Amino acid sequence: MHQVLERQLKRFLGTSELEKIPTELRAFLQAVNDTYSHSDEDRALVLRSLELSSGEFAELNKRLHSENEIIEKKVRDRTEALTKANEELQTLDKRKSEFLSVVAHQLRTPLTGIKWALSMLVQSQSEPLSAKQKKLIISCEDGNERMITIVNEMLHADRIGTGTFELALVATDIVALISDVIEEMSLLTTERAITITFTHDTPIPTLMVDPEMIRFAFQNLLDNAIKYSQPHGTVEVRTEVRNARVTCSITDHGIGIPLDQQPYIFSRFFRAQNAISAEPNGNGLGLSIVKSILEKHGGTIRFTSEEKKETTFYCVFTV
Amino acid sequence: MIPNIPAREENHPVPAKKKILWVEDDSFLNNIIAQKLSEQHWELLYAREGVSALQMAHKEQPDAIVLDILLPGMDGLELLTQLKADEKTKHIPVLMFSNLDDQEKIAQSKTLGAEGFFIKAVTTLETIIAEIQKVISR
Repeated sequence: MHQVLERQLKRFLGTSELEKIPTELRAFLQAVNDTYSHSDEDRALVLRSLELSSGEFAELNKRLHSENEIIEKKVRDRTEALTKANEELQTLDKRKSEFLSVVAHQLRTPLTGIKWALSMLVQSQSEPLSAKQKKLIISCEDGNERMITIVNEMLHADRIGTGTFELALVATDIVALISDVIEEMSLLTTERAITITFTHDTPIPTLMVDPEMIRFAFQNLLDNAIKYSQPHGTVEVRTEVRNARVTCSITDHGIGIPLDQQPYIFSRFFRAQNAISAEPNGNGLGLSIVKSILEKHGGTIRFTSEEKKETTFYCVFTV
Repeated sequence: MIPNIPAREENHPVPAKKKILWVEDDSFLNNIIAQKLSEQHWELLYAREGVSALQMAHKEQPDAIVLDILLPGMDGLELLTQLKADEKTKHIPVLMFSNLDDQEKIAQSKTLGAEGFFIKAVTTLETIIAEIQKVISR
């Protein structure tokens, strides 16, 4: 007899001996006994099943833990490899910049000598040149200046690209700066018979900018505007203030930028096909440098252009 | 025997030529500089590196020193430091010239007492002469 039934019979009937229990109850009690026994068997089965599952879970957990450790180690190893690769890249980048700096210096030295020697030849009072000789020497001067500009732009591009230059911010009268740049361009504008007009709002607030960098940017933009204008054309420079922003725009009515090439115009070394045809001597670095300079100042540059009609570049500074 | 020295008019003494010490190791540039500066009627002294430049500065007491940063041995900034630390040479104005476009070195040269810093490749000879003239006229 099941122990639970035995206890219950003793409690409620005073005896667990079947002989003393009424006959009509014995079949019922047998059924109860069977139920308890089956229940015990079922419970034992469930417990056993739980034990097995628990064992399996433990095994699975152990396997997962082990695989997790393997994955974590792989992640650590790869992170370490990436960190090391990144450090190597930074070292290479630094070495590249140092190399570029040395090469620029080595190139600039003979270029400086040529520049000075040519200017002495042109200016010589004691041994004046013939008109033909002078023209040839001036061509050499132009070529030499172009080489110096290329070296300077490569240095700028590298420094701006690697962020290795600091802005020397100064409260700057942007109108005066732009006027200066326009004045510097007078030789080029005279050669090509280009008229530059400059209009501006009054007053224009002073801007905290690095004047040398901004000067370089405007020189670049104006140089392009003049270069790609038709002879006897006009270039319009405007500066205006709207909503705490100063916008300087430069518009030329020249060759424009083909629509399919406009997305690439600020990419390093990119030059639109029509620009290459109009002016073969360019290195495609200027606009990428200008963009970097503006962005380093917290400003933006954008443009609108229609081929064979007009291009306007907008430089926007936050006051 | 007493040498025959021509009499000099007392009221118009011949002014001493200004001495400019140029420290540059590139021969090509030195030839051009020598030609150009000779037109100014200055006495041009020349050194290729720092040690001889220091000795020359001590001995000749130039009116101005023009100094390249990249020199063999002692570099231009070290030379500038020594010139400005020495009682006998610290008063001599120094102009730094270089083709190294290194903002840090430019700032350092100003801190060390240089009167000016110029990138040779973008500076004309006329500008150099004007700057030298400015410092020696003070």
